[in-house]
Amino acid sequence: MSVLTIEGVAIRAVTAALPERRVTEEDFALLFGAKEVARITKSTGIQSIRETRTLHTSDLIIAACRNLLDQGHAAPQDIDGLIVVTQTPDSWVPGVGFMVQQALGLPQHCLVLNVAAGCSGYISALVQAGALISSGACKKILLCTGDVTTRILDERDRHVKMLFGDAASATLLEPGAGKFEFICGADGSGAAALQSDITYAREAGNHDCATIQRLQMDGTAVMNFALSRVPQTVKALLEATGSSPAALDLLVLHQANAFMLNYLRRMIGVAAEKMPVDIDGVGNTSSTSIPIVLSRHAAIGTPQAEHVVLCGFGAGLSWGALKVDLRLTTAVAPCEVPEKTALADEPALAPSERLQA
Amino acid sequence: MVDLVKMRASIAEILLIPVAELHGETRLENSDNWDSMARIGIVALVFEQTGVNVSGEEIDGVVTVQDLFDLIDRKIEVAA
Repeated sequence: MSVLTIEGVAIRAVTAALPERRVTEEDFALLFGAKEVARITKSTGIQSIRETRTLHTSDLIIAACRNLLDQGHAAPQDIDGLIVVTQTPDSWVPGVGFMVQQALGLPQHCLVLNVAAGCSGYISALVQAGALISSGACKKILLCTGDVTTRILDERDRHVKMLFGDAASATLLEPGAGKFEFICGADGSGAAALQSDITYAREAGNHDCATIQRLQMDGTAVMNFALSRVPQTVKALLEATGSSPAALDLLVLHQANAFMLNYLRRMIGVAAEKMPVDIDGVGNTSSTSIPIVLSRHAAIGTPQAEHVVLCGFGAGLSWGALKVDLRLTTAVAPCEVPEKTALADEPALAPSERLQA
Repeated sequence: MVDLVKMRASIAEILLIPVAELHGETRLENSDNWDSMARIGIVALVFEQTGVNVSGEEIDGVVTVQDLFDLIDRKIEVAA
């Protein structure tokens, strides 16, 4: 595995946006039974998630961007690059990035990129943003991630319903003295392990031309993939950059679930206090999970964030690990986004559907 | 070196039964806890101990606790 380097780039600030609405252990117990819920939460480390019923991906991303821009690090007219990573776009055409550009009042000369990527997406988008800044093509880039994954789940499948959550993030990148050292990889032979197919309609005259199928996850294949790839990639990056698990300040992995993270931590050989598990209360938020951790971690923006490795892995299958100095990065606490309209206080499933999954 | 005692204890923990009740003839399908989460637990356990992957198809072929032990034995041999 070859390590690549992009120089002259800095992550200036990072934040996130979470739907205000929580789905709690009590809500899950109504759906699947208290005993089963206790068993699953003990393993995943996820006792509650955030789930929106009315917000789109763009709403969450726009809220995250405003939460970041309100800090005064950049004005909308200064943003000349916008990257939006999502697998749950508001619309098929155009991409969410154009809605974000319009809502934030970003200039028309702003380069807008829409990226379809999942849990490794934050790393691959950092590489894209870093390359654009290092080359001089852009001066200030907003890198956004966001998904409303709960909209594409089978509500009756307790293993996904109690795992995934909705969220978005915004990261500001600009020229600086820092560098990205990274390894990225992909193996399309594992595409079926995490998949949401499209079925195109065959009937002429049908108004709906396609149907998006619910997210399918082969948990065994994903676990095998993560155990094989993640420790190998992180260790290769550390070795190539003259570092080690002991020398790291922070290792931030994609927050898949606590069970997987604990296995990966032991295999990498990093101390628990250096590898945050920040998943309870939000769930697995795909490409947003890493920036959520960064936005809530006390070490970011301090001398204790000099040697940081970020590692995303998931759909594709794909993976990426990136080493970066975050001592001068501002972590902005996530904001909460209310539902667009008042919701009836009812479980997502009808009573007849409960406890049958 | 594979820690068989730890592995046996971990299997019992995954199935949520006491180690003493982990009998070879026990059919996993009779356990309420033999689901996708338990299968993932076995995959992780075997990989951590042996460095060898267990595929979904191999897990599908497991019927009894003894089948599971046999599968793990085969993986230990591969790793040796």
